[in-house]
Parts: sequence; structure tokens; C-alpha cells
Amino acid sequence: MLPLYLAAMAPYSAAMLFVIDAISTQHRSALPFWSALLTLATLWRWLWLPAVQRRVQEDVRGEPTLPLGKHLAKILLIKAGASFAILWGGLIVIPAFYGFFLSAFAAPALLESGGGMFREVKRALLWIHHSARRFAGVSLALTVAFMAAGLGAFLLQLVMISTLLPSLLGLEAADLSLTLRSWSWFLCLAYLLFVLFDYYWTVASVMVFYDAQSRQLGSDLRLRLGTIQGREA
Amino acid sequence: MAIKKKMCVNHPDRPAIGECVITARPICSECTTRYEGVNYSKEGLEILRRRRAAEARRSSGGERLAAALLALGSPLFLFLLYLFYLLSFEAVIDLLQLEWRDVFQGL
Ligand SMILES: [Zn+2]
Repeated sequence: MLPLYLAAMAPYSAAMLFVIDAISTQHRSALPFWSALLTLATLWRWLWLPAVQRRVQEDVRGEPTLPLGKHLAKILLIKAGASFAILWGGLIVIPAFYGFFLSAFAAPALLESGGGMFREVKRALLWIHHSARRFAGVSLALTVAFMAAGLGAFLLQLVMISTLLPSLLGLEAADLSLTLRSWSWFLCLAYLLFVLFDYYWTVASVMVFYDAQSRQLGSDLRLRLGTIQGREA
Repeated sequence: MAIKKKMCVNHPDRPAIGECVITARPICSECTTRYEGVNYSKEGLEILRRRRAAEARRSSGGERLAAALLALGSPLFLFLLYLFYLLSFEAVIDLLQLEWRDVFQGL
């Protein structure tokens, strides 16, 4: 599934590198072009990510899922709605929280049951609602890990510039102050971190989906067993 | 509970081997069609076939609706995404133009 993921991310990464270059050299006039390219690369990434998740899903199930092509429009529509909730509802945390998990579950849910779009969205939202506390734990852990890694990269950058490079290479600290050029390294590092976490979550979200589903089934079974035992007693 | 021997609804002289899962009427071996591991009568199979066809129609209707919505909505969505990217990157440049050296020396 790594080659599939790399195929999904290659145009996105290339566009992102040009954006980082434009930012760190302050070429504001170049931004509209590279932003447009990044938007197209995002579309490409979205077309491929469900295929990556499907590969994981087939590994988990041990048998083929439903065909992706037939359900791709519905998956993309759900992901678009979910990322709308993330981008515009980000300030009031809750829509972003549901959107984040809904976007990750869209492909596994539709390729598992092939039901109608609205039914699957409703079911997925119910799962997320039922597992909100555990999911909050998952997203908190992801956020903390991501921020810690970002902070680590940032501090490493600072240390490199302020102490290591001057003492190792005998360069004057004043010459090596925080120039905008050195920010490009930091931005590249941050992007690399994003890619690592994105790959991790693309794969892990399928497992989380099946975990949520089996827990839901498990509690249903317990409920049914309870009523059967109640009747016998 | 006493087991009462049931007769086939179509052949009153033949004992039923089971019930149709859809119509719940007793049927003999000749009237039974085994499909997907369960027993159906002729009428039950016809009801199942109609149900499946309606389901398929509904789901392909949903797929067509999704595709149409996607075709109509995606230009707007992509434009909003483009704006989001552009404004964020402009903001990052503004942020980096702060005098960071002064900020760090102030710490
Ligand atoms: Zn009969």
C-alpha cells in the first residue's frame, strides 16, 4: 500500500515544495499559480487515498471489498462535506471532530456495505457519537504527537542555527541568524511530518473503523443475550 | 410441545419439508428452492427478486445523484479550497516577515 500512497502524494508533494520555495523566498506573485496547482494535486490525492484505504481494508477482511469505481462519487461527496466541516467548523471544535472521522470512515463504510450515502453517513456519525470518548483520546494523542514532533523540529532548527553550526563550522552566529531561507528547511520538515502522520492515519483509520463496528456489534449481541436471559429467568 | 405434521400448501397430500422464509407457508421438497442457504417457495422467490430489483434501482439512483452533486459542486469546492490555500500561504509569509531575531533575543 506504500506505492499506492506515494502515487497519491507525489503531485501534492511536488506542488508543496514549490509553495514552500515561494513562501521562503517571499515570492507572493508566484503563490496564486502554485496554490492552483496544489488544489489540483489535492484532487488527485483524494482520488487515490480511497484506493489506499481499500487495500488496507482487503487485508483486514481477507477478501475483496465492493468495487471502488461504483462508490467513488459517494465517497468523494462525503469527504468533501467532511472537509468543509473541518475547514469552516474548525473554530468550534465539534464539527471538525466529526468531520475528521467521517472523512476517514467514508471509504471503508461504503465499500463494506454499499448502502445509500445518507444511510452510511448517519450510521458512521452514530458510531462516532457512541465512541466519541475513545475517538477524542485518539485525536488528542495524534494532535499531541504531531505538535511535539513539530516543536522538536523547530527547536532542532533553533539549536542548529544558534549553537551547533557556528561552533562546528566556526561560522559567525550573526551571519547565520534566522534568515527566511532557513525557514524553508523548517517548512519542509513540517511537511514531512504531515506526510508521515497522514500515511499512518490513512492506514490506521481503517482498523479504527472495524474496531468501532465490532464494538457496536458486540454491544448489540450483549443486549440481545441480556434480553434472552431475561426471558428465561 | 407436540409436533404437528404440516402439509404442503400446493400439494395437500405431501408432507412439508419446511417453510418459505418470505411467505412462511409450509412447502414440500418439490416446491422448495434453496437459495443462499435458505428455503423459498415460488412466490417467495418472486417477492425476493422484486425487492432486490427495487433495492438496486434505489442504490443506482443514489449513485447518480451523488455523481450529479459532485459534478455541480466540485468547481465551487475546488475554488474555496484554492482560496483557503492562497490565504493561508499569504498569512505564513506575513508571519515569517516578523522580526524573529528580535523576538528570540527578547526571550
Ligand atoms: Zn408442494
